[in-house]
Amino acid sequence: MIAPMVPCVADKTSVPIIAQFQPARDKSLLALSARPLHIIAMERTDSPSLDALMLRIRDHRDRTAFAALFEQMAPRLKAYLMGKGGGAQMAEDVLQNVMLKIWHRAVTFNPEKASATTWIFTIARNARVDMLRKTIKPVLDPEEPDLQPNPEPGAEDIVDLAQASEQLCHAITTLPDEQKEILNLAYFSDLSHGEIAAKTGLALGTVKSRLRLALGKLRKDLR
Amino acid sequence: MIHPTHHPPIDIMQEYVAGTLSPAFGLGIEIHLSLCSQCCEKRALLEQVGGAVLSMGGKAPLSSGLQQKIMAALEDLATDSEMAKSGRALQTQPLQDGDIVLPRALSQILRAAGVDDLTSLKWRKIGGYGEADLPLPLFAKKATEIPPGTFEDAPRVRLLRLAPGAVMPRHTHKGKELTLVLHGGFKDSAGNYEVGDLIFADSDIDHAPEAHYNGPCLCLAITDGPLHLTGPIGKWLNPYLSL
Repeated sequence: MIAPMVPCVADKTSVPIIAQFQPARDKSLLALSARPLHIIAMERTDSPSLDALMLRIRDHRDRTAFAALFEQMAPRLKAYLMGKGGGAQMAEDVLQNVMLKIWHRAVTFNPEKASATTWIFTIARNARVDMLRKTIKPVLDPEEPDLQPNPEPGAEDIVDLAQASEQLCHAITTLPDEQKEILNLAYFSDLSHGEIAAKTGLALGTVKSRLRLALGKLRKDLR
Repeated sequence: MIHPTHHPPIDIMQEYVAGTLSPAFGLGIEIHLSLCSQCCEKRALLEQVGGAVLSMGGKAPLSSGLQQKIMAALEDLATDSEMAKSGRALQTQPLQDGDIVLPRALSQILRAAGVDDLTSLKWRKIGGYGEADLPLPLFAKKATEIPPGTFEDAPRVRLLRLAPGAVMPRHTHKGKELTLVLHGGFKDSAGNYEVGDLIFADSDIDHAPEAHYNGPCLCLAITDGPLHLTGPIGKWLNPYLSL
């Protein structure tokens, strides 16, 4: 069951020009102030929902669904990858990698465990980290006896998860601007909290407390 | 069955989920996650927030022809097998040293780095305290910021071993320190720590950890600044030690 869409309020005045972002190398405060901080566009055009598209891709290898998902997500993924410090060309290289992974790994998409946006976010983040760092990542053993697996989600949890993405988007639009800004930088930029503090001129404690407040409002479990 | 009671702070978890935490500290978080279902749930929630931020994010215009190029590559068999290869899990046995058994996640990483035997590491010992650097390629804070040839501020990833009841010299930290208990346990003035517990400390903490008496204690320690001895004798030793 897919929850009805909660429209995320369109704020046309803050449509970001993320393509104009300077690479993260430029650390001067001046460069930051010239940048749009409101990375969240606060408008969504999803119809049908990403979850429905992902299920068509997973179950029917539906290229039309993939094309629709591409149109919704590829420009956002490119903006995300550029915000992470790479140039336009590198962002498109990683983007290609991410889109192919979405197609080839669709079989692992399970809307009961993670919504399509969450699943795509983790693929994009991992692809970017892998490409930049080439470090060894542990492949966790599902047989690990130490790790107690979570019980399978019940029907209620599944409804919760389907609604969660929409509710989260709505909740993000209602955050105070100062928290929204830190949330954006913490997820969308290539900056650690210390680097965000240095760039914005805020105390590190202020950055962390705004982020904690925002996360706590979005998910009570994250307080 | 492990139920850690000391967990990474939520802001460190957020940096980990966003991919902005340095790989060395990320390693400590990953090993903790492999032992802590509670933090796995937190990770899932933080990723959900990341997905929402992404789905509401701005758009960048794509090069013309990019969509056609990617659509055409969908059925590329070479890509298919490459994907399958990269998804294959490593099969490894946990590393052991006597009664001490390392978590699988850490064993996999060490084996991949060529460490098949903990005793082959270069251990430095002072009384009941021993430490060994782990030869892991995790040094750069960010790949885009690797200072050519200089790793002076690079985080260090070490195993620390305390004999039963042994006390570490009283110290504080010049930078951050992440400690993850892998075997046994220890206590300090702030609390008691068992297997799976993760302690994230900075220069605010001044402590002298003491291993439990019922066995040796093995910890993973990740530091991005030197320890600084603060005890009455220890402080005279600082210039002579490379802790």
